[in-house]
Amino acid sequence: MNFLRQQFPLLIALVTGLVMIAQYYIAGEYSRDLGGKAADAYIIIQGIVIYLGIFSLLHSHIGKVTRLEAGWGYSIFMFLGIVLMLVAGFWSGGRLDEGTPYKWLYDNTIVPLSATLFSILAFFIASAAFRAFRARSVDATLLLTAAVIIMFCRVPWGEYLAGLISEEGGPAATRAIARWILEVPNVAATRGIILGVALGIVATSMKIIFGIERGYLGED
Amino acid sequence: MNYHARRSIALSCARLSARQLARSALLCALTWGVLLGQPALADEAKAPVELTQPTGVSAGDFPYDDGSVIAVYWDRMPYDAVEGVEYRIERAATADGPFTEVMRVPAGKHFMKDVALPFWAWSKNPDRHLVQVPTPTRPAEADVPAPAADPAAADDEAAPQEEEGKPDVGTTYYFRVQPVYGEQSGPASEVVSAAARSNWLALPRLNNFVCVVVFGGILLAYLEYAKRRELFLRKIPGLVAVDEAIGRATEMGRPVLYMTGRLDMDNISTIAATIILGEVAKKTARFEVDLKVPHSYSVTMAVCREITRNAYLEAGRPDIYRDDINYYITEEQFSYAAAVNGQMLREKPGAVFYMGYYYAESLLMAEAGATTGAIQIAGTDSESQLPFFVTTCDYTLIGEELFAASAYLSRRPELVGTLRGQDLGKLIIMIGLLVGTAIVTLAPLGGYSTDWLYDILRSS
Amino acid sequence: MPAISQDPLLIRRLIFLLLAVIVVGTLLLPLGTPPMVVNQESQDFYDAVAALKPGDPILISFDFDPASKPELEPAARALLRQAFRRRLRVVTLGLWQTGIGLAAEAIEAEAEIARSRFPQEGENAYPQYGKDYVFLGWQPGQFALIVRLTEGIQGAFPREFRGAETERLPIWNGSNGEKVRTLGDFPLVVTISAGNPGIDEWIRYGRGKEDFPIATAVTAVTSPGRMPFYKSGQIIGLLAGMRGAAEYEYLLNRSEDPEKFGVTPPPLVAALQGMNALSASHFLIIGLVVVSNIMYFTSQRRGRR
Repeated sequence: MNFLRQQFPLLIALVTGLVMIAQYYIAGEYSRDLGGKAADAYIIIQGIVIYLGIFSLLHSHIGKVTRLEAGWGYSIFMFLGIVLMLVAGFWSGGRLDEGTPYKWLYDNTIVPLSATLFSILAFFIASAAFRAFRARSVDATLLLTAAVIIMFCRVPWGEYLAGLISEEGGPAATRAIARWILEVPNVAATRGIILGVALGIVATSMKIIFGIERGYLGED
Repeated sequence: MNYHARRSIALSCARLSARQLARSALLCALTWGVLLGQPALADEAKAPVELTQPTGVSAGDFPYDDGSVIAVYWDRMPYDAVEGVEYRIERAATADGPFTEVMRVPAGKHFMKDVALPFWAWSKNPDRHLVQVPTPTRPAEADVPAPAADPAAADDEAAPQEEEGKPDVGTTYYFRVQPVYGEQSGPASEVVSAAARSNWLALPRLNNFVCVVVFGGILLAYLEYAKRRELFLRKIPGLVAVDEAIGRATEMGRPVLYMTGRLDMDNISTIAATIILGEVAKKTARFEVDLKVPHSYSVTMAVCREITRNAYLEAGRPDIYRDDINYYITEEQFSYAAAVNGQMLREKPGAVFYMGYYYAESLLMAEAGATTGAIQIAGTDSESQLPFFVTTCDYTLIGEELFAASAYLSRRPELVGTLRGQDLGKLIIMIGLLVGTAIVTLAPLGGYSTDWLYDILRSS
Repeated sequence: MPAISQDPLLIRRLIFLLLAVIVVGTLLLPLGTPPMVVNQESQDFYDAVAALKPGDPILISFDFDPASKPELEPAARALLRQAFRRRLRVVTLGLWQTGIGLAAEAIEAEAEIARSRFPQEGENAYPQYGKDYVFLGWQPGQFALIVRLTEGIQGAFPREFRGAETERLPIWNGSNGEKVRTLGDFPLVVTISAGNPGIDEWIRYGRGKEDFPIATAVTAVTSPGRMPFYKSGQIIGLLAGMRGAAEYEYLLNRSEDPEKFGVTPPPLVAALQGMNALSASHFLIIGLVVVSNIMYFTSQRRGRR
């Protein structure tokens, strides 16, 4: 049992990792087929995991309702929502065609609710900007200056106002300043982060493949 | 200009006086000049170009692929400089034909130097043409049934065989090259033959392989080194604050909220987040403070349950461990954020940890957490969300500091050693950037090419 | 010190109210669309599609969900408009399952507009589903699906969205007999990307295995992070958020030629109409930052006294 819980998963990680690394450096038809089959296997597992997610959701909310935990009423709405979408989906033959109940529910619940929740972000950005964009230090001053310049220069009203100062030079200047901030310090910093993260990903992947990193198994 | 016109002009010039002759000579010269400068009026076709037989024709398998391309080569010809000349590449199943045209390419283009392969895997000969002819597929393309025009009818036909559509590797095909210029065709070359082969080694990826081997070697070397000697790690302020945050939550009698990010266990930042959870769980077990870990993915939740149970065991407090410390909410992004926000506003945690990869929900959660007065510590490699965490959280681990955190907290030699290896990797990249920039800037001044450098740096 | 500044909750609610009034107000007022200046990355996006020849295949991946609809759907609609106008073979798919409904709706709406421009009888009828455009739908797998596409598109999507077998569809066959099999056979791939899986995965797993030009439309918050890829040439065109979509709509509306088709469809204005609201909200936040700093320095000075 110990072998199945500890050594066997490590063996799977080692063999799969080395085979997929080798596959990248082998050019032929069999290598290409292997890459395709590995991708297919992952896709199949992902498909199964969707059901695992649904099962976990139901399990956790059934527990909430049976134990009458705080907020159990919301779980009832969650079940109602699942049943409603399932019924509508089967009734529509699983198709999102115009006029079907499934499409109606999609257009009138999922779309507006998702868009609304994402839109809340705008309000939170405004309140966070008011609270946090203060010139407490040199770094904070640089941050807020760059933010204000980009916010001004990247919208049509900003270009229009700059045009009132100088008809041609104004908009050109706003574009040039915004472009410089985005293409020089922003690209430099982002590249540094991307390179560092990429090295971290390579290092952690190697540690997982060679069994050095076992945290994902629940071990120390 | 035809003969009769030229004769008439000559006879006219002969009959005139000296002054008239001079005037006429000038007129004749002008007329000759205009006539010679004009294209022939009677013949509208292009002036013929001498199209000789292409030389040096050969064919072979194109390397480093699965046999989907056969390469046809021939020498640069004198008429490559003539605009409008094309090469017709023909293929047949037998040496005697019949040959059918498979490609037509303009002259003066498609040389070996134009192929995007690095110098160690390819000869960039500027004087040899190369055309990549797709290998016919199995069965031979002429045998493939005509595709259905009506998609609904396509369902009624038999499913395609697995081998159909793959390159016809191993079958010998015959090629010849013929120059053409408008209506004029030159002599076709000798017939050459080749069969596509599925190749083994992807030699263009040698640079990538060397980087992997070197970096892997550095990591493993430091791993061994760290087992024998203690390596220095600088203080990461965010991690030092973990104790402070948990202590504060304990004093206030409020729970600790910990999130592992918005990606599943296959993501490196989620793995790093789960490792840090182990250390945080040990501390919450010791301080007897409530720990709550809401999840988006059931696989991550299952792994975190194991990690948390082991952490509580190690801290000697299995009695206060509960399975529902880790609980599943939903995979949906904003539903998850709404649930977490609701929990934060109701329960007012003393400390909130955002570890892992986040998307737009990061600011929703962090701003809600800020309003409750909790200490917030974030660690993410999502560069688009870093500004939001930096402005709303007390401490932020940026980029690979998140990966370093697992080493810092556990102090395990193998983790510390690989961290040092990563640092050396970054140093090598920094030196490479400086050297590369110098080469690319200075080489053109001396007339040197830098194509070899781009080949080394490019991924093939 | 006024009491209002001592109550953070009240300040937050005032800020929320102010933002709501300004955004709704600018959307409702008849301000028209402001003059647009096109940035280079948006121009490159437009040019990348314009460089394709009629009959060329293009792959469009709808990698967003309803949450990002206001920012990305205008770009998606404009891209489809241009692709159909160029008479391209349009292959579409989605990597986000909740975005499939949006994708299907946008594709059919733009195909219908294209049908009003081109003949519908005979061999030149365009566009016909299965021959000139197809929606492959969604499959699980995320980045693994992109890897699978580099091995074979028809294997990754055995059936398209309407249920027909993809292998037998005529859309894969070019006029010169060449067949589209993998990502490398597309002269252009475009991803309308809101997150993961998105442009990062297309570059990492797609372009890491095969060489194909890729352009992208992304949300404004992620666009600075994609600039390194644009500057290095890994992405050949970039539409940044609603502003990028507005620039693209402007380019398309400007390049409509009523004489060419005899009919001009309704102009694309979804993103253009949002520019006033976008500008107003930016200016509000700039104002809030200024006020916040004034309050901060004032309280610092009072504290020192």
